[in-house]
Amino acid sequence: MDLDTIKALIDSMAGSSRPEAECREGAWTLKLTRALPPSATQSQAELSEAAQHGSVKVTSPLYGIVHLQPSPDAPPFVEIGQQVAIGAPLCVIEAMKVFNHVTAERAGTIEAIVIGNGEEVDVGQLLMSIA
Amino acid sequence: MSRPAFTKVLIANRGEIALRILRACKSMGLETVVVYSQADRDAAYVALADQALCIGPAPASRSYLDQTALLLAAKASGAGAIHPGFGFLTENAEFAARVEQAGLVFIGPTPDNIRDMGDKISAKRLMIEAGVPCVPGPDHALDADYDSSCATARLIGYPVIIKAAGGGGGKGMRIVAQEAELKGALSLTREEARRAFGASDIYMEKYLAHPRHVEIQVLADGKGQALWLGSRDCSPQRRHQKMLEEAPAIGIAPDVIAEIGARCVAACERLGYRGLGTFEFLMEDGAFFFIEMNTRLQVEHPVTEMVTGLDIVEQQIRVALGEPLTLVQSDITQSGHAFECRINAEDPETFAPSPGVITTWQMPGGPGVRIDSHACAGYRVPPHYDSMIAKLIVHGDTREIALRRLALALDEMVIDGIKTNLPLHRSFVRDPQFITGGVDIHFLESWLKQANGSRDQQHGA
Repeated sequence: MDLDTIKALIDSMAGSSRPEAECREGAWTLKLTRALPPSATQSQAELSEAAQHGSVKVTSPLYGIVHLQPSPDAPPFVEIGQQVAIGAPLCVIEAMKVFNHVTAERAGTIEAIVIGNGEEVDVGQLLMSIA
Repeated sequence: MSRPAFTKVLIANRGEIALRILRACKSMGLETVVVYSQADRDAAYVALADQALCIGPAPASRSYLDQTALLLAAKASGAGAIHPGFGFLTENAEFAARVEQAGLVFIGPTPDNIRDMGDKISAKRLMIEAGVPCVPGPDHALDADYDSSCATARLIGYPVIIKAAGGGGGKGMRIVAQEAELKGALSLTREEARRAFGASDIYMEKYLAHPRHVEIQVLADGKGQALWLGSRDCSPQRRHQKMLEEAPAIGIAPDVIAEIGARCVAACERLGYRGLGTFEFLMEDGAFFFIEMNTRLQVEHPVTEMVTGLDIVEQQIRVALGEPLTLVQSDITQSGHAFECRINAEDPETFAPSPGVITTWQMPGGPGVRIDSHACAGYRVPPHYDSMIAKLIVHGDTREIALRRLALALDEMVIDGIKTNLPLHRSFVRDPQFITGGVDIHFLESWLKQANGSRDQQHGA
């Protein structure tokens, strides 16, 4: 399998709506996977509307990568509808191998989670809201 | 066994060191392939390569650490050799073996060399056999039996340090000041070693209270020839991470360091070592104690380049091309003095990482000043990798001249948009004890404590 063949396969997949493709040639197996848009559970617009009803926004303290679970196999820190106490861990923002815990600044119910696991977030970007 | 010649090199790394390797390859007329993750897509050095291939998404585990992706990229681009840089897969014997099995050249030591030195106990045993002085303590793993470990500690004398055989670079170690702490420390270190390195082997050494970190750069051709390229002092460290390095290490009589260098060369010849390597020592009260060997190109290689006039990366690639060493030991001369400051994207007081967009990037110049960096104004430092964004390297005929140039260059340098440790370097290079030279490996941390203390006082805290 040479570079041109691989490129041709990528192009043909780009032109289709397939999320995944696999092909074999001799001892080679090539698997192509489309990067899916982050699975945010609620749009930013919906959230800002919710925010007007007295909920608290949780924003990222730094530019980094969001982890919604403590480890890849573990359940998420929080889910929508869950009650949280002050200081409860909500997510982790990773930057340059340093892990920063984001905790709840007030008690309440998780109203929305607007970022997907593994996404990059900027300083001050909205992560969740607590009602 | 002769190694296949190559004309195209795949650089399996990113950032500053990818650019450094790219420059060495181009200067030798070799074609270059840069591989990059999606996070590094827009980095300027990517465009400088003859060919560039995306090998995966931002997380290193799915790009720069993905052995299959790297081998596929080498195959697809027709590269004949892979340069691992430093970090990532550099000291992974399995990867080195897979590269060679694929009929490619691994620009580095043999898989056996990497394996021998990766296990710190086997490395120590080999060094003792080769006549390299080691830290007092047995050259074998500790028994599970507490009484025998206790007897070993008494024989060495407290304080002792317990280390994981699979560790290194400051990871998996614990200092024990007295016998009462021994039992707990043994089981904790063993458990950490099992979890972090997959093997619970631990060993014990004498703990040195105020050593300097002095290291010897070696270059070997794997055909029985080896050279040592002088010494470096990397004592200013924080949490075992080097911050500032210099060459040569000062205050050591030439015949003393030459004897250590010769022993390192003898060890390389005995091991059949190939490529670049660094023997790391602790030096206390004039005596040298081997701690570990790094089987790769190092971050601080430029200080050695500045005083020897050699292009160390080029020498490394020549060895990989199968060329025998044409230099002999008497060709290696050292002229003047060099320093290197590691410039990191981090808060200079809290050390919190500071990735983000660089808005101002003003680099210093003048005689003896060198910058190794892939960054520029507008560059977005990604949060996915290490925080080092540049190396400032200076050279002068004497240590005093080099230090003056270093302070001046640090003052000239402006990086805005993100936080960097530049302010920390600026004040550290003006510390009277650092200026005198020969500070130990704990000096920087106590200096930082003092600096933070006086700052808190100023703020009325």
